Amino acid sequence: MTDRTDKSPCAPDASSPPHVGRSVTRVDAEDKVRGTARYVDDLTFPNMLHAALVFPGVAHAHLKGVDPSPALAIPGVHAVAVAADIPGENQIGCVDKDQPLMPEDRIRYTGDAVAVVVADTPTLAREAALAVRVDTAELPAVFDAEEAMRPDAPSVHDGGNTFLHFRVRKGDIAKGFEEADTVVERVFHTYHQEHSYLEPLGTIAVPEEGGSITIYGTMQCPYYVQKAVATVLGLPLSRVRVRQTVTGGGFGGKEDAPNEICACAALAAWKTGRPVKLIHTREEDFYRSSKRHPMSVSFKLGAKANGRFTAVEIRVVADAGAYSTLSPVVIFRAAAHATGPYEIPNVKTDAYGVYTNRQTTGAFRGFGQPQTIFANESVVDEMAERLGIDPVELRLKNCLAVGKRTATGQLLTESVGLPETIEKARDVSDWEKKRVSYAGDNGRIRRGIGIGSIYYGVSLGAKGLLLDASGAHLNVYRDGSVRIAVGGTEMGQGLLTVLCQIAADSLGAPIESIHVDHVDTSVVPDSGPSVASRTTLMSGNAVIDAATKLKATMGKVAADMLGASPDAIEFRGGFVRGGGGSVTFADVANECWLRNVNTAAEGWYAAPESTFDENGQGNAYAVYSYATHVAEVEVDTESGEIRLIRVTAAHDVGRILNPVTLEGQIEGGVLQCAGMGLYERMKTSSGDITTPDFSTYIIPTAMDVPEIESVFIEARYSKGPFGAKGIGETPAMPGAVAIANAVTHATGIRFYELPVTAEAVRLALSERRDQ
Amino acid sequence: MPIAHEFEYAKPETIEEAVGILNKHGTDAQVLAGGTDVVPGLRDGLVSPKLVVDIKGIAGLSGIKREENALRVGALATFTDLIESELVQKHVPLLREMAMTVASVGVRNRATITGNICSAVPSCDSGPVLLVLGASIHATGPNGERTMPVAEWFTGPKTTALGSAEIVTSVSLPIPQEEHGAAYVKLGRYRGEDLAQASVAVLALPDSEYRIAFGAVAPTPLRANRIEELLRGKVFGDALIDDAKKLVPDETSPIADIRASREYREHMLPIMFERGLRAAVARLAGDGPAYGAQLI
Repeated sequence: MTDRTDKSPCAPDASSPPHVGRSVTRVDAEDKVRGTARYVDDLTFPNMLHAALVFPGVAHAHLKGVDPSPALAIPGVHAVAVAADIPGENQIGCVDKDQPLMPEDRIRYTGDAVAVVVADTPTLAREAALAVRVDTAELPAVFDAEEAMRPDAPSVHDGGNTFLHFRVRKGDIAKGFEEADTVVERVFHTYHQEHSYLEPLGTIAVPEEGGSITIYGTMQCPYYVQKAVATVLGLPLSRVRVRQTVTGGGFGGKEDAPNEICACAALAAWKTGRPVKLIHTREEDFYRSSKRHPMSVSFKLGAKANGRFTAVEIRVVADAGAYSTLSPVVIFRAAAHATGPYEIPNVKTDAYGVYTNRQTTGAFRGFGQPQTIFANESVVDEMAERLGIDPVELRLKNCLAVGKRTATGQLLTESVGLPETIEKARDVSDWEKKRVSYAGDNGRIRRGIGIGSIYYGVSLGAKGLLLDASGAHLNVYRDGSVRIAVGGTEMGQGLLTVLCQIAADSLGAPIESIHVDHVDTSVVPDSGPSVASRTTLMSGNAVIDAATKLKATMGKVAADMLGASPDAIEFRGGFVRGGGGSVTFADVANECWLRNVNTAAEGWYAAPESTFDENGQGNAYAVYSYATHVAEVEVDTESGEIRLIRVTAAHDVGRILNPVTLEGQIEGGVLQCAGMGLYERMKTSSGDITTPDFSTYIIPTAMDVPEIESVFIEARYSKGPFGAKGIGETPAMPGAVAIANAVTHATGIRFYELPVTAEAVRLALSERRDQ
Repeated sequence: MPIAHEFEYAKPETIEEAVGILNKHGTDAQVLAGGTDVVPGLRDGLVSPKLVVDIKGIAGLSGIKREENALRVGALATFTDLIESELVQKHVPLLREMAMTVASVGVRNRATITGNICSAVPSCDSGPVLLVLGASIHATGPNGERTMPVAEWFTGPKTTALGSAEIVTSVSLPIPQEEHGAAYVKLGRYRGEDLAQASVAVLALPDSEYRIAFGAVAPTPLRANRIEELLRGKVFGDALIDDAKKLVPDETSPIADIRASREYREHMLPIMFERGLRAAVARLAGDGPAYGAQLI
């Protein structure tokens, strides 16, 4: 194999691990570049059939009947599965049990499917799906979360629409606002955002001998799918095997949404006894996959004249859509972090999750935080303006650091690189100079520079503790090659590569000898979801745990081979040394085999305890990641058009494991921020999406990429693999508000909803002229 | 995504054969060239022909040729062909400036300018540019060949003067005889591929002669005769531009849709017109931004 490493920007010295910290080339790069990577739609099975879903397309209705007979009369149609065919429980609710796989008596949004049609081809299945007769009686519907909270609003589920309320109470806000010299209070709005991953949802369900079933599919969370399919088919978990296929992006959109599509295909396969493929079109993905929660956020902040924050009062209303899906965890996260990354002595936060007859909303990179970040970081900027303090300085004055306490009262004891991210972003972007010089622009084009800072609790925290453990299985073959199975998924973020690096350095094996598989639930125990920036941390630690066990076993054999004490044995770079001699890793593996010594090991890692009481106090998350983005824009004051020119993205990642894949994560996140900040506005009408494609719903393209400068801060985390903590979410979080703040700097106008479009800027500028 | 519609497929080798097929099948047949409009239309069920007639196998429909005082653009010439053509760059740089704004590289590699005007959506980028250049459209049908001025081509949204058994074989563009300056200004929501929310093409000729056309702001692309009349022979300057801008609302009637509001289009049209006019006049003087530069 050719050299998989290149010159790293932080080349290790002799004491550094050989692979961790270097830009090892992605292990899946060649397959993806050559087109030999096999995504789910590339797979086929003997006798395979194709499925399509039946959507009545109404937002709220009584379901009076489903008549499949016209579809069944079409030659080539094999079956139509309906709710009554479900052998197990008609339930796929992820946290709360409020979501049937297929509604039996009531349709709650336009993405509800009432039948699965199975035919010889996908085309035929879709044609036949249109032939299924669905009898409905429409009900009054509600499409706005604030309206849905009113007592007279139509009820989406029995028991009222406001189904979640998280509180954070710290100190005494009345006293805090009394102490304040200045108070800023504003209301902010954000809307649905689509994940827009490259590969739409898709699956193949294959019935197997012995009454079991195997599910292949594009997904982030195979163990969720395993549970959903077992529930719907009424099977024990041991008879449901889920194999994740190469996955073309997730961003949270493949956290729970695959449960539905996989369970539908499984039901169809169960009914026909044949493999069934079900692949969404892009439009179906728009209608049926979950979105970023639309939120309205009321944010009131008090500060002393010297800039010290004294109190904050926040009310968050999140549109959860028709089912709760992941809202209980998303809105928990929003509530826990809503103040922004500052130490504020007096906090009152109320965050509500509300049902509406709209698309379900759930996980999306940032997980409920980018919406509240837009509010808190806008208000901090407005406060800076009122107080006459530079926005960077005001943030540095209040920001979290080791020894400070979060809004939930958590004392931060290690790995808080937030102040450094602010300082580095300031210095690298040349903030101080540009903040002054851009303000002097007086022509048609005005430049602006803006900032946003965030913190993000890594992994699942107090509301996800049950899921927060991960496994690994390491198998060393007699030739020294290593095959690793983990429960965390590669979805494009680079996990397989980073795990190879971690495994190579913790096992002392050559990196070329290591292979990591995509997840197979039959190999590794339930490892929770691949979300919340937890996968490298959790799977990485599980790999290290297994490697440690293996080295203990293999070390004894090596000690015997070298005539050295087991304590003196060192595994490094493909060699095992001790007692002045050395043998290769492969030699030791072979010797173990000859001596009938087991060279496979299981690794396990469970997250530290976390807490969140009824007042929202406790150690909500074990550790936090931090980031600051500085955005620079040019605004055409005649047309309102905004060009994003440059983004400086400073991230505290604990420890850099692979600089190039890390940069990739950050650059993708910066673009998603640009999408949320400037372009992506999902439009809906009576619960129907009127922008269900990339011609009407626009996302940034390669033509819209700004100059991106990534800056890394390494505030090591003692419990992270080699000191690393999560990076998945944070790149998609501070950018949108940094852009909005930059537009404000350029125009003098503050915006209270995202995206800030050219039309919105033009309108605001002309209104100002009229005044 | 699968195409949920079955159809027959023919790939004739001569124009006569193709016309014969179209004549036989009438409106049940759909001509296919680049396919960047037809295939999404099939996919979304917007068109449902019984027969698709692929004209890519017909010899002689490709390429861009110089004829005496015109460029002859074959029906199969793609937008990428236009962008890469030295003839286009030398004689009609406006055409290249327009082509560079169409969709994305991948689409431009397949999409043809002829297909663009045959689809005839109000936002088609080619329309305003062909109007100011005074293009002619050559078609062959059961009664032989005929040539139509582009001014008579667009008859409504997605409708043209082309007969159901006719095939466009080429578009000819008169090469402006004198020195000229021109500009195409397109309003999109971002730098990525977008349909024009409004567009304007300006051709500035010596002796204060102008040709101006708008796209996406009326049922068809249209020439702005009153603005041309106002500008003709006048001394170019801020006062004249202001007078001309005042006529823009009379010449255009934009609508609101999912991509932009009517108000924003109305606001942008005079701005786009002014920027296009200034660029064209500057280019006529051998000055101004290079063709292809972003004007908005």
